[in-house]
Amino acid sequence: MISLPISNLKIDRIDFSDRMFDLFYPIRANAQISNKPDSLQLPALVQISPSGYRIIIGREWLESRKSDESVPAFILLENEMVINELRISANYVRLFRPLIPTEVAGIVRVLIAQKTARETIAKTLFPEIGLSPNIKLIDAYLNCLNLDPNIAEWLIGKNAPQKTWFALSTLDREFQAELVLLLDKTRPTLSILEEIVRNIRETAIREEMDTPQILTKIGWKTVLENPDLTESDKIASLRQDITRMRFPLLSSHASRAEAFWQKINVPPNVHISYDPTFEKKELTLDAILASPQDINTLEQFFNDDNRRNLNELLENL
Amino acid sequence: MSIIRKIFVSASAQNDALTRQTLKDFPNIIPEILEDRDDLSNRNDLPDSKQVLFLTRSKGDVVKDCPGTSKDYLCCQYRVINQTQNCPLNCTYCILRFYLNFPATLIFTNVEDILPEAATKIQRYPKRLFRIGTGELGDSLALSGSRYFAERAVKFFANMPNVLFELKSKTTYINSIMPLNHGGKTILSWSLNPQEIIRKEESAAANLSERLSAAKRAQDAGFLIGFHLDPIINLPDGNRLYSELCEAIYDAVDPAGIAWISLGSLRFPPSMKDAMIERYPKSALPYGDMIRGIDGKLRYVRPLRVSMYRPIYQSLISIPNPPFIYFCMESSIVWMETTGFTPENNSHLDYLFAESLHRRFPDRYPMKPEREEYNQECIF
Repeated sequence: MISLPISNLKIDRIDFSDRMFDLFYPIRANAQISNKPDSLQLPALVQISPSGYRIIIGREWLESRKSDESVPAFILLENEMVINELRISANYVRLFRPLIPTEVAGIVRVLIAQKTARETIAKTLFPEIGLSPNIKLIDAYLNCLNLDPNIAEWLIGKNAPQKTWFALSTLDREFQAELVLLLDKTRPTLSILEEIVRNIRETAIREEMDTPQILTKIGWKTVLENPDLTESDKIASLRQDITRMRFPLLSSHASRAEAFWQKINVPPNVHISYDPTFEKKELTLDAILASPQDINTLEQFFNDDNRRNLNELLENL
Repeated sequence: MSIIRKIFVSASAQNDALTRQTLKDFPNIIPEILEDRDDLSNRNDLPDSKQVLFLTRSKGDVVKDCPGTSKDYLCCQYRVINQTQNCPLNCTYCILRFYLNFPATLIFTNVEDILPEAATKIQRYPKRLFRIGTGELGDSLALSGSRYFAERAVKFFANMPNVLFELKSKTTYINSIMPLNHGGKTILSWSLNPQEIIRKEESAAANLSERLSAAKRAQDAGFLIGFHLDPIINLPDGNRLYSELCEAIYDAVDPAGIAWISLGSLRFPPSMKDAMIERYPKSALPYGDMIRGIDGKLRYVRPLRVSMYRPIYQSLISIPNPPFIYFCMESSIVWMETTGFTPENNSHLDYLFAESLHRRFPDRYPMKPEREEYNQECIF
């Protein structure tokens, strides 16, 4: 339970130059892609310091109120141990929203700089701020500080889960820069970005290729910078090419089935599908029979041509 | 060198002969006595489950039906003796770590209860031939506690007419088994892969030539032998590697004495993928051309599986009177596309084993199997 006094503070007592606890959102002011929702704006939290008040949370808001005589803010007492200050601050944030991984990373970095044992951070602090007491998470969070700020802001805007942060934060800067281009040119959904990254990484490991080699092979930049393609065309083209590389046989088998599929004239009241994993070698047919005409249409569907084509499709599934 | 770092013994198992023998084999490890199995489940200070040994007595049934997989894939109705659960060999694709969900390698010490349990279940169906083994949830020979059980089981089953007891391993620890009176009722089998895969993915196991030499020794000692090409792994030059493996098998042993060879491709639950990546970041195994099968496991896409199996199958049946070749957890479609034939169902596959053994080894299995016997439900 957090109980903090709130008070109206003279604005000139706030030390804007003290950035010791500048750990919480916003991450960077100069990010190119901004998805920052308003809900991330928190009431200010300050700490009493020798020079007045040190800002812990709410710098942007306080900056915007500089012309006021006084501002309301929660106050954290001085002389707390650093780990306690950070715990209180983190839990203050959690009153309003979950912690962002880069914020956790900032907390961890400060504590490590203060010579706090990793064991203490994982086993004592993490559970107190709603995280799993897993020591392996320390490096995973610290890696998040390597994320391109544009990607970090995008992840915040998408409310991305922890595993996505961790996965993207292990990518090299070169690949991250390519992803920034992707975000800029196509505005993908979170799941599509995850799929693209996963498939590229997995292909790279399996084929023992570098990421740039793969990106060149699929014409990443050419597609993304093509002015004649819409955002969805670009995404569709890249996803198709990446999937072909990641699942070569599945893709070629699907293309072959699709070629046979195209030969079949399916009437509007009939729907035919096959198992996209090809584990089952069968066709599923759904037909809506709402009138005598529908029955005739279904009957006519099984003409000699379509029978032959359906047989060919079945054989090639 | 053994990877075992800690040994726990349940109080009830302290005086069992298997316990005493196992502790002698690890003179530098001081065992910890536990009153209850839950005492171990609740511990959070343990190393990897493969490095911890827990010797205890079983409480429920140990002899069971092989869990197999969903009904959409054919399974052979194998029976398992789960005396050893987990394995110290640490293969990259090992499913046991994820499947068993217990913080130690478990070895049941009450041999005197387990073997009669198996006998009782087998004797209920005297007209059926049962294939039964200890190598499903662990390696049959890798740990001394497993070998202790194996030695007694070989002798126990020697005089039972309707059983074939299988010891499945990736090791060469067969010295204590060789002199035993097995009555022709024990088969020693080895899981095999090309040496290139063994080096990368099965590094703690014996290498290929050692396994094949052990198989030859077992054959010379009068044992039936078997091989399991499982998991078959897709590699750029996989066809060549597996073709050479097939040649190596038939060069090393007399094919006429091979009871069976199974084929199965790499498969694992999706939840295991992330764990494999974390544990073995350099392994390419999690990144195959895989789909989620009907049983929910990730497996290579069917056309790829068939293209991997076909040359292996063709190579293995290229000799007169070849061994019985079967697929582990494969669909009828794959059977048909690879061999031109598929068993009608699991019971039929079970019958085909018995038929093959009777036809090829009539001295050991004189009882002619009747198909109807195998159609009846028979649950262990």
